Amino acid sequence: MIGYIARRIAYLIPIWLGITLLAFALATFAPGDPARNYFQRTHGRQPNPTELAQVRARFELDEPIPQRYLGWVGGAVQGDLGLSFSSGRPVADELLNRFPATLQLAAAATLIAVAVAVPIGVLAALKRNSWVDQLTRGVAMLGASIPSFWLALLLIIFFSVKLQLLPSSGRGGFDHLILPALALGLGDAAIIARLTRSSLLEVLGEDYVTTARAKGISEGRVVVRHVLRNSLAAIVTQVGLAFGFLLAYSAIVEVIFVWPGIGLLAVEAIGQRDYNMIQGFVVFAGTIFVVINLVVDLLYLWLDPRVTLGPQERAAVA
Amino acid sequence: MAVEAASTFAPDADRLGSPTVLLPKKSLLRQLIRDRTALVGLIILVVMFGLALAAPLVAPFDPNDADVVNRYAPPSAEHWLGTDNLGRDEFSRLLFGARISLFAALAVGIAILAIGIVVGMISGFAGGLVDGILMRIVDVLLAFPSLLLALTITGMLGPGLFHLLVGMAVVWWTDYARLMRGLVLTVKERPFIESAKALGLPRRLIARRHILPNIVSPVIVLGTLQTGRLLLALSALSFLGLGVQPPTAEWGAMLSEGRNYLASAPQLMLYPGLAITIAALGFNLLGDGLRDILDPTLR
Amino acid sequence: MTVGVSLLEINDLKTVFPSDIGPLRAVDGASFSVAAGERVGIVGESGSGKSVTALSIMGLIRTPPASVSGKVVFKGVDLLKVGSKQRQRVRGGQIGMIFQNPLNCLNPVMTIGHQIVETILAHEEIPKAEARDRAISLLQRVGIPDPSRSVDEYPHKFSGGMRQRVMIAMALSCQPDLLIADEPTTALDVTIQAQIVDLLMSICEEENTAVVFITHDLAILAGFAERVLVMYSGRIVEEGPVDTIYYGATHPYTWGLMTSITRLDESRQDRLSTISGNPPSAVFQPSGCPFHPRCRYAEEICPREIPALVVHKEDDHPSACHFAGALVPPARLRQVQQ
Repeated sequence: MIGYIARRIAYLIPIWLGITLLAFALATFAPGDPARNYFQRTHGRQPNPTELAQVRARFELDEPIPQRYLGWVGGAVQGDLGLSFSSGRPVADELLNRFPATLQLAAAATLIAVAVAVPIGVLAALKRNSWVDQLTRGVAMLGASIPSFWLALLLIIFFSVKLQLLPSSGRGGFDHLILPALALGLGDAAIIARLTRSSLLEVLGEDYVTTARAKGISEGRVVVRHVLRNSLAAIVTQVGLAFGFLLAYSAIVEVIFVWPGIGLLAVEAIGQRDYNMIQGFVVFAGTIFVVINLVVDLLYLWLDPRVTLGPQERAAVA
Repeated sequence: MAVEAASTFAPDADRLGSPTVLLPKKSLLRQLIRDRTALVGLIILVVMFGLALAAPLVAPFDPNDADVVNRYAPPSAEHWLGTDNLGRDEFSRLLFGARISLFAALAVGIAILAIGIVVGMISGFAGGLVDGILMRIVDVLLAFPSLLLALTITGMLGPGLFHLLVGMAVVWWTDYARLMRGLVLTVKERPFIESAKALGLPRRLIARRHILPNIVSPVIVLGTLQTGRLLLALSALSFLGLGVQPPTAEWGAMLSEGRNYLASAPQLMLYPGLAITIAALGFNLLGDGLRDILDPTLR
Repeated sequence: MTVGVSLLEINDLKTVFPSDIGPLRAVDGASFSVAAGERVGIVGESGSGKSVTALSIMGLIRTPPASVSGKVVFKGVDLLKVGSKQRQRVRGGQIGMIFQNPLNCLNPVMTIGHQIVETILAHEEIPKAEARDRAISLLQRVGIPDPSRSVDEYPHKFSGGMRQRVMIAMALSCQPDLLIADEPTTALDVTIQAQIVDLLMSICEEENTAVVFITHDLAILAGFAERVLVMYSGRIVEEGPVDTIYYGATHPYTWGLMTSITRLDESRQDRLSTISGNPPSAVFQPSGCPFHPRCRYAEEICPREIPALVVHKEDDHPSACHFAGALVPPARLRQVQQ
């Protein structure tokens, strides 16, 4: 068990390093000179060579590339991602300030997705080929085809412009959360519903479900304790992975609803060519992704008593 | 038991049993027509691509012809879908927008297919260190949401359609590479490959005769579904202003412009979004249908 | 030939599944009875409808899409007529069932104790602790080592034979009057098979539980069953006391099954192939006697008329063959029968 977790973490370390390399390369090899841009924006004129050197030193751009990378990764491990070119404040602080908003949005969206999708998926599987099933299939297909940002805009038009019920931008009370969370969650719900259905169908065909029925326990108990319980690992895995992707798609939804999360921060940083912020964002989001993957793996481990061994066995079970 | 008994007599039991289904060249179209969802998807795509190609012939107006007197016009016999904030004909803009949206998605699709196939094949055949390095690169790319990465890369390169295509292609090839590698690995171990090797057939011939046909079906299925996803991602990134720049008509960009008139002219949001949804639906329906037809094991 | 009062009476049971190519008649008019405490074997090739018969008795066939008709009278009540609640009480409470594949029959994410307790609590209103104690003594009874510890283990810790023992404990946990065992030993090693059969035998004798033992292997019934039913194409084609079937079978299909078990040195597939041809499709059934296309004794009447399961005049037990009692069994079988 401990060995398994250690192996998983050992596997994730090179991936994390790969992400840092990617982030660093993005910022370093992008066209343009960030120091010159920064000076120009802050002073409104071209810098002279001394001024340029000062800016470079301040943002640690004066060292050779390999040293810069090592220094940056070393800092990243300790939570130091350098200074933002636009605000001059530490990148890590800005990201951490904005992260709770993104987390809140993603959590709310996941909650909506699960609350909508799991019951529908269960119903579709239990009533296979019925109209419920057909409808689910149709809606899921539509859900996979509607662009989430368009859905967001439609929600705004309907609930904010026409009905004037809910605010369309900013972060505030609970009412501010509803529309962005819906826009983000509904697309996900389509995927989770389909997956719930298929994993349930798989379990429904298992012999132990027939055994459970043969024991004379109630159908409700058969579904909850035997069928759902055995599908849980697959559903949780999907929800966990989807949670990661919510963080990604939240960037667009955040822009539309002016929701002050890290996605909006990143898009702003791209607009301002704030390289440090962008590379910090990539590493931050990548780290979150890696951590989510690890957590999902551990959850799987916890939910399925059969999984106690190495990755090969795990692959065989999954 | 019951299920077992039923499947024994199912007409396509044999087909289900064999792990690979060769591409049924002649009957593919016929099978598509029989599968209703796939047929709907195919019709949607044929019509949309057809209209996109024929846009200069079909469109009643020049997509960039502004008619400032006639702004926000409601649908009429002259302007089928009305006019936008600059008095441009919405229908014509949709048609011309289709050219960029659909063909850009297709272009990225083909590019990543090429990259993915090459990387996956190299990885699958070479094995060892090469495989290890390539697959770690795939892992890193997959460890990060593709859309965000494409957004960042394009942002760094600077907005513009070409940069957007590059940004997407750099990120999205991983699915194909993984699929390809997996297929190569399984096909490589099959008895008929072994026997072909034993017969002394040259490697290239083995690859072309025996391996390629086995991988065509899954790639077609993934490709269709993937192109739909690319279309959605492309329009999302265009919407953020990273793709084509105004005044060029493109669905995502049209939505981006229309967003400013959300309260006054919500209809401007409607058509481009609907176009994207229908096109994506076309890809998804066709992909699902193709999967049912070509690769019963994937169901 | 029935001993005591009928516990289970099956009359003209028909179970039909819809399929793309027409209705699939898995069970097509089977009739038989089981007396209290009696051990009955049902034998037949795969696809002959044995398992579907068992599932139909249990009420585990999904209707719709399938349809189950006829009579399944258990202790005087037709189970096909009662509501699902009552059905559920019978299932697991008065009729227990064990299945073919013990590796897949236990819920992998529930401890075995929990699975047994769940069964007991579904049928009896007793405290959980008491149910758990009973589960432990049941595990002890079926020969699970260290039952008070094993009770909290997950199924994957047990071997196939051990899991089948757990299944038996579970099926017997509410002291049912009838146990249906559907190929309970097929998935197991030969030595384990014998142990499981012995265990079933001893428990059922002790508890006076009637058993319906379903198998494709006549040999395994020899030391176990009192009476044997031979099933073919969804019907009972011959029935009689175990000795009669072994030494005086009169249906050519039973002869085929018999010849196949006399040669233990061959693999299972070879053995089954001693009956030439394949079992008929449950969709496209041959006219007349369903066995006639594969029967070397078939005559002109066979494709025309369905033979009834009756005692023919030259015979001493029911056999659904037009020529029962009048045919001479193949030479190889005669040797065995002497």
